[in-house]
Amino acid sequence: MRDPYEVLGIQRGASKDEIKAAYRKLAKQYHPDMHVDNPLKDLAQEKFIEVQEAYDQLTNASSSSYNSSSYSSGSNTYSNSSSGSNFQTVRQYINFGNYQQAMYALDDINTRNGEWNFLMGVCYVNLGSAVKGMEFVKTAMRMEPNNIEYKNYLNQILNMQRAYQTRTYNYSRGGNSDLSCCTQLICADCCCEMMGGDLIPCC
Amino acid sequence: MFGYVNIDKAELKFREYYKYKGYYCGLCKNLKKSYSEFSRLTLNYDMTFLILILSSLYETEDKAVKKNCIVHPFKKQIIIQNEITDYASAMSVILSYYKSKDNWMDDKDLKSLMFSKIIQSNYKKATELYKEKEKFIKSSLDNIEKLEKAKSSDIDAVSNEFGNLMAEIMVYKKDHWEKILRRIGFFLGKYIYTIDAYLDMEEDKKNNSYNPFLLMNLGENEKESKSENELNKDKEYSLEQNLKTNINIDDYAREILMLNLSFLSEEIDKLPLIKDKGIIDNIIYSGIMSKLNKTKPNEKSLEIL
Repeated sequence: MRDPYEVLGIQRGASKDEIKAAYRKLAKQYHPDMHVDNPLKDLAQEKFIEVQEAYDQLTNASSSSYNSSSYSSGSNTYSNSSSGSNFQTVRQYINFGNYQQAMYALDDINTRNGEWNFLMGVCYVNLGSAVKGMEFVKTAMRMEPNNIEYKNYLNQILNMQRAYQTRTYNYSRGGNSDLSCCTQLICADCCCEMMGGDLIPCC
Repeated sequence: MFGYVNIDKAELKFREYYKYKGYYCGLCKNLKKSYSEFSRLTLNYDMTFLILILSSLYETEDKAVKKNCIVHPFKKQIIIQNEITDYASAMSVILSYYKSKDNWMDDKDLKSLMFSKIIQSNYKKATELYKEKEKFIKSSLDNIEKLEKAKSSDIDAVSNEFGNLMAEIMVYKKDHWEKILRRIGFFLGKYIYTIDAYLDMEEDKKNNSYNPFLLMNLGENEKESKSENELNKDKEYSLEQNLKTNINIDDYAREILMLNLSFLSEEIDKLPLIKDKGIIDNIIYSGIMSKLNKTKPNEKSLEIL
């Protein structure tokens, strides 16, 4: 697969808005509806799919912080015991997005260790009970404080929550761009005055 | 639907405000034209938000006109309509038909009965256009009713049903964006149901009406504690009790609501929205919380804004 940035024709590290704008432009250009009776129809279709995939990849459209695909590797700590293989089954259900089935399987497991609490938490979060689910993940962390997977999962959700709160906090305060624009002007004015000129005459 | 998904007027640009009002009036005019004068009473802000998101995603061709209207007789209003407006007004009619029917069944409210009878023919017309959607809406509302009748104390379980309903409504087309739109609808619906229950707590307590938050306070109901006992085989698993006894309802509700909004904004951020992005941001980062923040009594004086 080609580099998604290259497909969209943008620089590495482009902002979300730049990615979206580039996607819009190319998706319109290659849209199947635009090439109905055109010999290039198939090529356009191919390009269209490529653009779509590049966009999905750059915006993580197929996964979310709460259903991250990092489970596939799993932890192999338990793979020798019988409950270990049960947990593998649960993880498979989770990977396929079948959280209800995963929960039923968890109900049948009697080993209520960190792993169990963690997987239960992931199921709850994805079935719409995020607060409850996070309590389970926290319990898992208390049982196994050194487990990185549990910690990462919780942090991902907490970071997302923090990001949202920061944005709401900044929203009614004019955002950063306006502020920096004013600040720059005032700075420029100060610089000019130092050199004898004046950019903003009134101050 | 309830009108919790609103704008923060003070933070919008004038241009954006008029555009938002244009969509709102467009929905209103469409209801009148396609259905009836009465169906306009169903109008609400949550549906306007749906129009905003879908119009932005599909970059629909908008028709904007200036017209007079009975609600604002002396000033011509900007009216914006597109294909999404047609869809939203059909969904709006179906939802309010069921809502008024439900009000009549629950509270024996005569006004609701009359209203549901009046818009019945409109409801039939909308149903013919969107049979599948209507089926889904009906079954979700039935599920909610079952949970309410069983006095479920699990706010997540009940709000999930309304989330599923909104998820279905959000899917205007089955295409590449379906999955994301479904999740947006889900978190939006959950938010609406949860905040409605939370803000109605006082009133429901007075009227002795169903409210999952009130039931939570009193502890678990029998049905739930049974399944809890089954799960409680292990001593270490006492989390449920912890959650139920150590929490303050306000904190718990706010935590649920904020997490929901975080998920919602994460999902919306994945769509390539450019058109009307300013209005959409205004709603998700500020407007949507205005009712929640208004509940602080010492900020009452600011409400006139």
